Amino acid sequence: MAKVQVLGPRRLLDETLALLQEQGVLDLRTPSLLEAGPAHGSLHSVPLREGEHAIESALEAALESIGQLLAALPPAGRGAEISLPRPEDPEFAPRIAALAGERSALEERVAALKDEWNVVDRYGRLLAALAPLRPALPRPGEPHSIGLVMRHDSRALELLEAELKNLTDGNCSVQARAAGEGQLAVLVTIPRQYTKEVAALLFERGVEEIRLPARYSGRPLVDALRLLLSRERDLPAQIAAAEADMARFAAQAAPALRRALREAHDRLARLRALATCGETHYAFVVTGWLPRARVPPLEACLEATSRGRVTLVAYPPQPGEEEDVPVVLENPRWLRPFERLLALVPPPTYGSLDPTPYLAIFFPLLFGLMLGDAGFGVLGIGAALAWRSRGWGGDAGRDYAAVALACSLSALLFGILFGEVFGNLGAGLGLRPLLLDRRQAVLSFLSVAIGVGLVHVSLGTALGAFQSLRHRHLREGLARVGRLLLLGAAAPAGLVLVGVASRAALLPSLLLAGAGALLALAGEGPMALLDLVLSLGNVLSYARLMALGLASVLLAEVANHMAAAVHPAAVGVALALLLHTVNFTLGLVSPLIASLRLHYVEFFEKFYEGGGRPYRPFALGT
Amino acid sequence: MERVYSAVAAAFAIGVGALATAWVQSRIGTAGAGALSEKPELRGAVIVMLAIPETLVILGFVVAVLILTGGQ
Repeated sequence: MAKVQVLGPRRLLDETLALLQEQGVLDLRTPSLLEAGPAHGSLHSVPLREGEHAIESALEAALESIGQLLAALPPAGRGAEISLPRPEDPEFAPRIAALAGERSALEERVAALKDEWNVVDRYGRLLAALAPLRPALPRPGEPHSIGLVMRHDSRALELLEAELKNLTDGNCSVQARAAGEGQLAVLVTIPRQYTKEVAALLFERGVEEIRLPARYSGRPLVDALRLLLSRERDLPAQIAAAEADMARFAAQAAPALRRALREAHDRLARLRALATCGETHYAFVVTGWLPRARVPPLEACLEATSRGRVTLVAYPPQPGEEEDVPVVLENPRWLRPFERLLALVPPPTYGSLDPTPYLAIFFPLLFGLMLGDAGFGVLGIGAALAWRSRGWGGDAGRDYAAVALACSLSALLFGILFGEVFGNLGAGLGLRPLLLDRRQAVLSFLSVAIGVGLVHVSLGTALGAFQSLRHRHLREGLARVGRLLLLGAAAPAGLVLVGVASRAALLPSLLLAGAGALLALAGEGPMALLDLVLSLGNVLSYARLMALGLASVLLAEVANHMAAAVHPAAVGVALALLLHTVNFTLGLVSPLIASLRLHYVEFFEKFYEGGGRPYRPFALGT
Repeated sequence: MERVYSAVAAAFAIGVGALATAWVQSRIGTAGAGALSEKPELRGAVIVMLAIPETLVILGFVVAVLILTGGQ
């Protein structure tokens, strides 16, 4: 990375900032002279002018209103885009308010039509039964009609009628017609002054009242029912037309709103970036970090655009600035997808080791060792290729698909080495274990898992030792070399234990362990001995490779047995397929988490220096 | 009788490890859920933290395998 200062006449600051934002390579920092305090000649940070405060407030309000409007719009295709003023212009807010009003009106129209349709749809039979009835009162009074839905139960109807007569002093009428499906449509007519009491009675008795949409509230019930029924045929077309209007509105407004959102974000970012710039009466300075390779293009661009009036000065990072330098991981194209696996830990500090290449090798290796099934591997390859070809998840999705492809290939390779295709079905296809049979040679599999762990942890320790010595942290480096020697001593001891090496190897192994312990003690004192033990614990943790692998193969075998043992055969095959699906899903999730955990907890602990500052360039659309 | 003792010992090895893992994971899970409600971006870190105490049950499993196979 290079630290740069962009210097030029004060009047060119705004357009220079716009250019820097367009180039999108400079991670801005406050100039160190400004951070040190105000007493540095006439250099000071750039304050917002009076008009710019108003613009800032307008932009913040615009961002909020655009966000709300966009969130309320339905998803839509592309249409003839409407034009909008610039977000900081005074006419922008009224225009957005008008659009919001238009959207609300459209939404209310759709909702009202749907409300009507719901009533027709729900009460269609009841409305048809009620429509021919005529509301009438036995004695004079202003009639008020209520539509009810009841079960076809004459006793309940009689009881309701008796209670209503009791309540209204006999001045009510109850007319009922069968509405099919065991329901009665009931038209109750009462004098208007009893409306509240009757409503309370119906609520208390749990009788369902037919509620009409709000737009029919002023009409007599029977008239409203007839009108509603007459609209039954027209409503679907009207709803479709209203929804089409809403979709057209969304298609026209959404792209313009998104563009306005981006513009407002970018403009606001430029205004806020002013606070990180320094100025004098006549000049400005913008400071920041960018990758060294990007310095010449940016310099040329500034030179060409400002005709030499704005200049760029670049410096390498100075001692003491390491924590301020942002970190960019630079890996070959094929390794970049694995950088995504570092998203769960803080980025490495500037100048420390980038673990991506090691992740790219060991992550698929550990995953394959656990899943280790050719059938699952082929399924995984198919899924990863489909994921990649469909472009799900954008750039991140493509990277994850590449990682999934590498892991699936590894599972296929280990499946062939273990002679496994969906568990023991490989034997039926003539596949024989080339390395070991995981179901039988459990202890050999455990030895392989621990061996892989020993190599992985030793590599991490070696990287840590190299890093310490490179940074001249001699005591730490010495302790790490001691740990490495102990791990090296553990290898022959382990081989003796499993009977591969002769006992003669024990003596050099003990000498190596002793030397390692002495070096560790010399480097970091007695606490280093505890670290030595913990390092061995880190290695033992790789036993999970065996445990998860064994669980996977045994579950697959159970599924295959089930297919053979359960009758009828179709049920057995269905159960086996179900169990294989469960096993495949577990086989994807568990090894993924276990492999990540082994890297983060056992491997990275040995050398990884997290806490780096991510590189966040000042750019458009961020 | 020796096979019964071996089976019981293996069951203890994995059972106690599983109980310990479950207890620790319940504590981490509770804390993790609280942390996620405040900072959803910690999702990945919480998943990895949940996987850390699995070592207990996995080592229990290894010991159980060693007991049942007699280290052969």
